[in-house]
Amino acid sequence: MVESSDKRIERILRLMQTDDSVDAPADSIKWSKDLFRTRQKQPSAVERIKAALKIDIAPGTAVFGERSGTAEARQMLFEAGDRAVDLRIKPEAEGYTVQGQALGEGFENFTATMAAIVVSSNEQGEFAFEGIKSGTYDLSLNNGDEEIVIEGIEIS
Amino acid sequence: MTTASEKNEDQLHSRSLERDDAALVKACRRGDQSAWEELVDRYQRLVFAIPRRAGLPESEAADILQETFLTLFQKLDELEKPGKIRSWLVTTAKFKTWGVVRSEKGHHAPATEQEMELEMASLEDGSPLVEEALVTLEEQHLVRTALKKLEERCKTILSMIYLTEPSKTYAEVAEAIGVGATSISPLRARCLKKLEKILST
Repeated sequence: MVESSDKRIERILRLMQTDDSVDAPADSIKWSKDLFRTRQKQPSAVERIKAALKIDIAPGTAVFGERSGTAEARQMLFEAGDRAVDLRIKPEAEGYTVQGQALGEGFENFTATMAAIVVSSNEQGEFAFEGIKSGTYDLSLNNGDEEIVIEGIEIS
Repeated sequence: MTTASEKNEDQLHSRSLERDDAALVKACRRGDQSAWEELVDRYQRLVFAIPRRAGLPESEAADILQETFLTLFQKLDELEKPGKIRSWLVTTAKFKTWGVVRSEKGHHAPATEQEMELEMASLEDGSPLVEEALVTLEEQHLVRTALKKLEERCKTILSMIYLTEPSKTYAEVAEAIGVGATSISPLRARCLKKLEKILST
């Protein structure tokens, strides 16, 4: 039998009001989180693909594909086999924001690593790093089967 | 690139917060520390509640929490159904709790998982470790998670009306969120509907 909306809301409220659970002690939570730092990197059978720069548009120039308007961010497009990586680098009050997107079928749920920072992609294959300082960095996108590597991205 | 990439950081962040369990486990397998921390944050309260409900003191419950995440850490690459991580954590914490409860009664812990299952199947209805009690804990976890996804105003309204003791009046809630008192009743109903919708998806 399907539960009516009112009954369901009543049940939700009952669950809310009888929930007497509390957070675990902070030191136990920290221990559990820190545990993961000991994880050994698995020997990798990951296919490594080097990406090549195809387009690099400096900030202030016309936006690619648009008749008017200029980009605030530096835009770069890299090719990596059947895939491409779009990057936008934008200066912020503190450092730079590097936003990107992996384009192409089947490359999803990946982690992006840059300047020793690891972030996860969202469902659209987008990722973002904040507060990146000026310098030259490698960017790696790894979905467990394939790794796209972009070497020597200059951020300044 | 889609226009989504040009949306603000909050949207990217909130989408990342909503990574489902399977995506989190897969990210952990790739060595993503932030995914592991998100998993611990998401489930620590649920895991900790199981030994506490069984009457174990905080220190022993904390040990069980740590042992449960240690076991997850060790078996991360073997989990057959990453999307069922919540059930896996509940079962693991339940077994570890039962092991402690049992040894405190002077019995040796069961040697195998099957033996443990058999013993647990014979628990009396009132036991805090019977399936029904654990389902309630899981449902409470889901409601807590859904509440976090509501916008701030709804969180405030529902918390003030349902989660404070004594419950706040509509006038007090109205003052807190800066609307007229007559708006609270429809707002409350709308927030409950939103909560219900989140829980049904």
